[in-house]
Amino acid sequence: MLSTIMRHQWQQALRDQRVRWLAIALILAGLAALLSGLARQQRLSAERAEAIRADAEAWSRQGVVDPHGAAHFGRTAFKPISLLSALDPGLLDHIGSLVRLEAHKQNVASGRPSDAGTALTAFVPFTAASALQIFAPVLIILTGFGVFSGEAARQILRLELAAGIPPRVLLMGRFLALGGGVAGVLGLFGLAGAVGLWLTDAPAPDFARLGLLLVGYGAYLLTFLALTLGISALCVSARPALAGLLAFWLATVLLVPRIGPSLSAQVYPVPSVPVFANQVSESIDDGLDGHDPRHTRMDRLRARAMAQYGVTRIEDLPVNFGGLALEYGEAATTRAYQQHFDALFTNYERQSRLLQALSPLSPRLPLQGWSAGLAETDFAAHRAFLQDAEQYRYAFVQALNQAVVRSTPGQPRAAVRVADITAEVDRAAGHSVTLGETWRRQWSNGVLLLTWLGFSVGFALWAAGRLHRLS
Amino acid sequence: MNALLTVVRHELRRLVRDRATPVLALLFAAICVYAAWNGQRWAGQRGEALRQIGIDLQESRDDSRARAAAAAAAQPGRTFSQGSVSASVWYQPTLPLRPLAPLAIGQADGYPFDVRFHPVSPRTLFAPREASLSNPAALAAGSFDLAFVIVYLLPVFLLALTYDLWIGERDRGTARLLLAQPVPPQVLFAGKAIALGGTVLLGLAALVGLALLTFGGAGGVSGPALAALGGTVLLYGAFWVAVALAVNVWVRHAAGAALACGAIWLGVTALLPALLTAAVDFTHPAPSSAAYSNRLREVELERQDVRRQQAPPARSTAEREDRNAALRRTLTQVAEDMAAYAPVRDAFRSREHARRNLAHDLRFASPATAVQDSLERLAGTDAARAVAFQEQAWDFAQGLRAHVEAHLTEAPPEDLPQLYAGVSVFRFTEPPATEVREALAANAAALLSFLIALGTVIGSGIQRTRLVDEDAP
Repeated sequence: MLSTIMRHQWQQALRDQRVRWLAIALILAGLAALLSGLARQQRLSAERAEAIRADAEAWSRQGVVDPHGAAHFGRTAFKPISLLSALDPGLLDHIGSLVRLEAHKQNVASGRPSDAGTALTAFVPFTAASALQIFAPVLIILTGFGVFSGEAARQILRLELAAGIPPRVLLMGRFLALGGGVAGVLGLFGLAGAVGLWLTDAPAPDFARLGLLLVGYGAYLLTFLALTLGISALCVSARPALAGLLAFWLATVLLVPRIGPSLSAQVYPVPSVPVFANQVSESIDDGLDGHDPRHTRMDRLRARAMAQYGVTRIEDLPVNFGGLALEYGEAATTRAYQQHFDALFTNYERQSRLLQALSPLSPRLPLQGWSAGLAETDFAAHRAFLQDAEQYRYAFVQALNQAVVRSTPGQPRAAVRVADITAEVDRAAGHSVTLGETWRRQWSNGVLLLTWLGFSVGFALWAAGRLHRLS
Repeated sequence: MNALLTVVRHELRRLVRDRATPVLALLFAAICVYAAWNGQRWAGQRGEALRQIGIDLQESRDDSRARAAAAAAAQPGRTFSQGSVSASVWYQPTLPLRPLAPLAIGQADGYPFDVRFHPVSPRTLFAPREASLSNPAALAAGSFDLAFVIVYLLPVFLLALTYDLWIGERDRGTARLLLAQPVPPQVLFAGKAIALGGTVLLGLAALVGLALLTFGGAGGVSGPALAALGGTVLLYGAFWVAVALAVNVWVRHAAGAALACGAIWLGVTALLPALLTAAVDFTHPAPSSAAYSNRLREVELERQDVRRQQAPPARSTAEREDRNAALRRTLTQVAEDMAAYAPVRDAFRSREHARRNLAHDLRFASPATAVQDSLERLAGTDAARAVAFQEQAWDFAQGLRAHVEAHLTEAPPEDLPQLYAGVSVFRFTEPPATEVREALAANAAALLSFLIALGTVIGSGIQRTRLVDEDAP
């Protein structure tokens, strides 16, 4: 009986020209977005590889120079672009693509693709993820809003129920039939994504990420399907079913995901750029606790250095005190930056948690986190890159400061071949978020998505129990 | 005329009686209030940041003055010049907010609103500066301001109240009766459009305006700016009423009309802008920041090589004591550095410019993007104003060096207060009003052309036979 209902539902869906053409358009547009995303990822990765090469060349080309001057000349860390960003670019357009690494300063990432935009930038770009998150639910609504209410209006539902088909079987048949369509669409995206990964020699965890990503999208789209069927089963005519479902889509897919981040930014505000710069500068000048000014710290350093080497005058130190001061100062500024960046990123985390708490209002909220997390285009992946970059910055600047420490005391700093000094410092590896770490961060979003699915299927079954009312 | 008035009165009565009207109006009002308040909150934070910059700059100049006075006290006979004082302080040009800023956050987070530099070290000026530390997730979601309400939600509410403007009559079976009256179908249709569409549009536009004035802190906005805003909102709303009318002429069932209205809304506000963005990305991809950064470093190395090769000239004791000569040499060096960086900077900016120009021209393809552009221009958060700020700050930095070089006449330490008071101050010059007016007029013309096109569609469909269900008995 179930297979007959499924077959019948399939025939009906395919017969509806509107739905057929919309589905074809959505699939083609989504796949085109996926391909163009892949092309973009490849272009950005090639740019990055070239930039890394040019940066290394520039660093070596300095030759024999003042080590501290070289630390100010600095280096640049370039953010790796994950392959799955082709499917979901997530926050990629709104986070910087490179970080300038230099002495005394922890820079924020710059080079955001969304910078220097126009009025067009205010609109959501079309990506494979936006096709599935925003447009696919509309297609589901258009396909399913009249499944029961339309049949009730045409008196067909009465015949079906009179034939002895249990209402819940009727619902499950239709859910499975249309769910098969959803699985087919996701299968196409998955196949295209897997081919893309295979062609670019992606590591095995990326295939697992793609699989998990599609499971999340499956739960999300099936949630919309179950809700659509449930509402259709409750409405006497197709018109209120369509109006209600479109209102629900508008609220959960567009409004809540837009209001949520703005609301969380109000609850946990972040400082503006000049205020942040001021806070860091004050911490550097007055110490982290505000009561340890720079000159006191330098006096302490002098006393400690003289005690360590058993001398009574700075001039008698066997090492260059200027180098020690640079080393000490770098550690102090790094701690100050770290403290303020940690506070800033903790606020981001709080905002994300608040956003997650709003998930009962919209299934798109957990999906956004899940999708960007698995595609490594969320803030966690960006923060991992920033941490790598900062570790490298600190290591190479301190290696150069050590060269100053070793230079002749009391003399101007000796020029050295900086490339040799920093050759031993490990370069930032970049791609450092493992699948396990992603899972630990994202499992709660997965649970929320499944909860939405469970709730909506339950609602649909409950609504199916009231189908007799319509017949 | 009497017939038209009768139709209008009848429709107004029905609108007032409809139970959905107050619910939707209240919901829209609540959304407007939140969006206006949110915009005002953002503008408040930006204003506070600008105020903080002013305070910090003044403090840093006071410190510099105190250090100069201390140096003068320690070295009797030490003199100063306007140029040396101007070269010793920090500058931080800022982009001020306009009164309508709470209306649209627009591009304000995508362009720097300040730049801090020293006259002897402004190289690329805007290269490493971030405009905002906002959570990228919030930036990606987009801002919830009145511009969002106008561009996205105003059409939804308009369509919700007008999508069955005529089809409702057909569904209720009153269409034939109405058409049997001695009233031409055009008058009947116009009456319904004026009464329902016009009233709803005016009501919603009034709610937007009220929210902006009461909760958006935009009380001091000039009359012409408000008129331009009102005109833009009404024209955009008229476009959506025309969409509802066209759908009512060509579609036969209420569900179909709702579907068509939803599809057009999705196409105009989401799909079309997304495709336009894709077209811009495809034909003019954003210039690579990574390549730009590396190219600048290459030039920096080349300049270092040049300086190393140029052996420092032997200087006499008198020359060593001549601070002005040293300052002149530094200024020459900076000018040479700037000349070396210029081609790299210009190449990057010209690619940015080309990309921006294309995106700017493509905005006419969708009423939503044209309106977004108008709202950003009225709010002063548009790309053109931000770019004008960058160019003015750049020119200011260049002019500053010439100013320093031209004012090296020595003065006694007693003149320090006047010398510090004489330090150049950056003042942003708003782009000419005609430029903004022309852009607004171009956007309005684009909206009008969409309206005319829809008018043609409606006109070709208004016939008695199409306005009733031909299959009906």
